[in-house]
Amino acid sequence: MSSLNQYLQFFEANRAAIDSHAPEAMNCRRDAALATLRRLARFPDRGDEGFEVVSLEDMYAPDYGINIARVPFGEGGKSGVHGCDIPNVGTISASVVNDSFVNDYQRALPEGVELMSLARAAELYPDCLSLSVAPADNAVVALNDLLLQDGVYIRVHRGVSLPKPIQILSLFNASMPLMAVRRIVVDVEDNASAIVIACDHPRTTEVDYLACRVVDIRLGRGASLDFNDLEEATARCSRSSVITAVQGADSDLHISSITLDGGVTRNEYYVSHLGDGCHTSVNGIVVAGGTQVVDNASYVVHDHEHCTSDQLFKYALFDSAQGGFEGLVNVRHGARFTDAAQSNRNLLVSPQARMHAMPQLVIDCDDVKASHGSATGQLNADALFYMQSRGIPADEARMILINAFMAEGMEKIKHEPLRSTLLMLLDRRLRGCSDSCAACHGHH
Amino acid sequence: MTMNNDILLEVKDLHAGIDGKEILRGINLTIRPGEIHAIMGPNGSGKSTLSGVLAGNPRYTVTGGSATFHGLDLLALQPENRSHEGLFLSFQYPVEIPGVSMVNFMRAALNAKRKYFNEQPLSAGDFLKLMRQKRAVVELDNKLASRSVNEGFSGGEKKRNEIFQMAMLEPRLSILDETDSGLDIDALRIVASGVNKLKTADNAIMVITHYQRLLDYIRPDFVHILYKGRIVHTGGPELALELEEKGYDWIKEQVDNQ
Ligand SMILES: Nc1ncnc2c1ncn2[C@@H]1O[C@H](COP(=O)(O)OP(=O)(O)OP(=O)(O)O)[C@@H](O)[C@H]1O
Ligand SMILES: [Mg+2]
Repeated sequence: MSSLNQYLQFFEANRAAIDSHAPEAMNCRRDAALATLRRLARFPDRGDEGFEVVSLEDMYAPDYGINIARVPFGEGGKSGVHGCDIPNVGTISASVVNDSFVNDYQRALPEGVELMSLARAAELYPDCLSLSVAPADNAVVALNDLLLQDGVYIRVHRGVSLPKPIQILSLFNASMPLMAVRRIVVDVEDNASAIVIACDHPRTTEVDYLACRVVDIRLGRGASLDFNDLEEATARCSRSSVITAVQGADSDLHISSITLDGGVTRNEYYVSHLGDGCHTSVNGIVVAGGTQVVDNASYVVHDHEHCTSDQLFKYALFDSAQGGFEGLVNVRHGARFTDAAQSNRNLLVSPQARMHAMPQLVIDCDDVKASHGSATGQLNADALFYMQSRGIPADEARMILINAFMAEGMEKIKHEPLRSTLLMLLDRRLRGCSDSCAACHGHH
Repeated sequence: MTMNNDILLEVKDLHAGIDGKEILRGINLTIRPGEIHAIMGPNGSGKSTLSGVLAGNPRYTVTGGSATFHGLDLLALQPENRSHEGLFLSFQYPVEIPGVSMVNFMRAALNAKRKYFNEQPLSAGDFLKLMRQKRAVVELDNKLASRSVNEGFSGGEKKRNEIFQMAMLEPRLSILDETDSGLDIDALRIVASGVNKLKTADNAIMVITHYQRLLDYIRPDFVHILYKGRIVHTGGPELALELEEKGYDWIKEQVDNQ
């Protein structure tokens, strides 16, 4: 029997309780989600198209608690929430503890910026929940719709440019296995610009957690968004994430996804354009060790003219870690003068590590420039010996080479203070001394 | 002060190979402080294999014999510790390392050595000063020093960069594997005079070359001929001149007819 069943049964038994702690704008979407899930009958499994290394059936199989009654537990609340205060990054911040929005940002928001609980935003702006451009049969999005009660809403008003990043810290904090249903909605209006940093950490390393997370992004005409997504969790955390983005004409979207630690991770990205002249870049950085599994699936559709897209996914896999990459660039009829590039490069640091890569281009239009490629290799033994012969110990030499390999991805992180912090986290992760979120806890 | 009674490197009946194929078939060699040894020999005779085995390249398997480096069992040391203990190899084919700057590379190398000897890392200022000084020894362009290790360097620039690294590390025994190949006439003079500046009575050089012209600058005390994995003939500087004139056939005949 599919592990989806327990969620359907749970929903049917607890619908009233779920609804009573959520706004009508969320509740009214549950019937459609239920119908979708019933039709699907199961989660995607390993071997299904686009699922080569991760089984959502397995990920969702354990019996996690779901806190639908919104009982506050853990050490949530304002004072208890540790900022993952990445040093030097002056941020506007908000937290999601388990699945509840916690507004721990005490100062006034800049003019033209809204940052609030998604439950509240859904009352003010009911259509903010319908931005998703994920395929209609996406099980994670449907499950998220089915059980959603809260999340984060960010809106940057027309023409407002926010030079400082907005940081959204999602934390797990519970002593029992817990699944959190989370959604982040980012609405950047015409000619506005913003930088967002979303960080995912557990507070406890000894408990199993599962995040069912959806991020929906909308960019107006000429808008720009730099969305950075950091996961630094533990081997006992699983995460299924779907990021969708819809871009207005001449907008600029830059997504960087950094997976430094975790158990099983599945990230999906769906990007589409509403007008000409859009630029999209999706940059994935993965460092995985132990038995970690990290799978990224990135889909960019071009159906307007003069749009560019650029996807780069780089993995460094240690121990018996497994990586997966499925990428698709679809240049549709009429998307003339498209320039699309997709590249996946992987370093298998250990002989037990495995990578499964499937980059794909589908082009139904002339007059386009498109490229894709994937390469998986090991550390260069000659370079390693060269460094050792100069006195650099083997481990150090390996670190330097891996850092150099990852540099191409790290250079794409545009916000400088964030990049230097992430470089530090990356280096520490590579050095294997990164216990979960030590960065955040250490600096307070 | 020359201490010619000390032995810097003593190689005895060294056998080594690659992928099950024996290449070094019993090398014997003794190098004392202050000496310069030239190793010559036809292509494929095992010169680079010897230098790689001494430096600890894991590509080669040692199948017999020993190498003692100022009292230490050289073959038991990790390559990095061989370097700390004063062994330096100037590669015949220096390796390009994209994404790793020369500065970071040299800093890591120097600080690893200092750590090995329980010394504090060099301050940023002192390190850069040292880089500047040592660059001058081989007239290495500052632009090269700020690029990734050997990336996009010309053949000659790579060789010059090797000797720059030698200057930084101040080794006790330097093995120069065809450092002259790829250098133009002026560069050869500059690099060779750099090597001579680094030469003291306490350190030694093993210079692998095919041509006499390098030996005009770096004057050897001994010239060895390596052939089919063995040192088949040893002489003074005049042996190199003789080889230049006569080639290797006479040596090959002697050895092959034995
Ligand atoms: N991977 C390998 N497998 C088999 N044989 C190898 C391998 N690498 C090197 N050899 C052989 O080992 C022998 C010695 O090579 P080496 O590079 O030591 O020669 P050399 O004396 O330095 O030559 P040159 O003057 O051309 O630089 C050659 O015959 C070469 O073909
Ligand atoms: Mg050679």
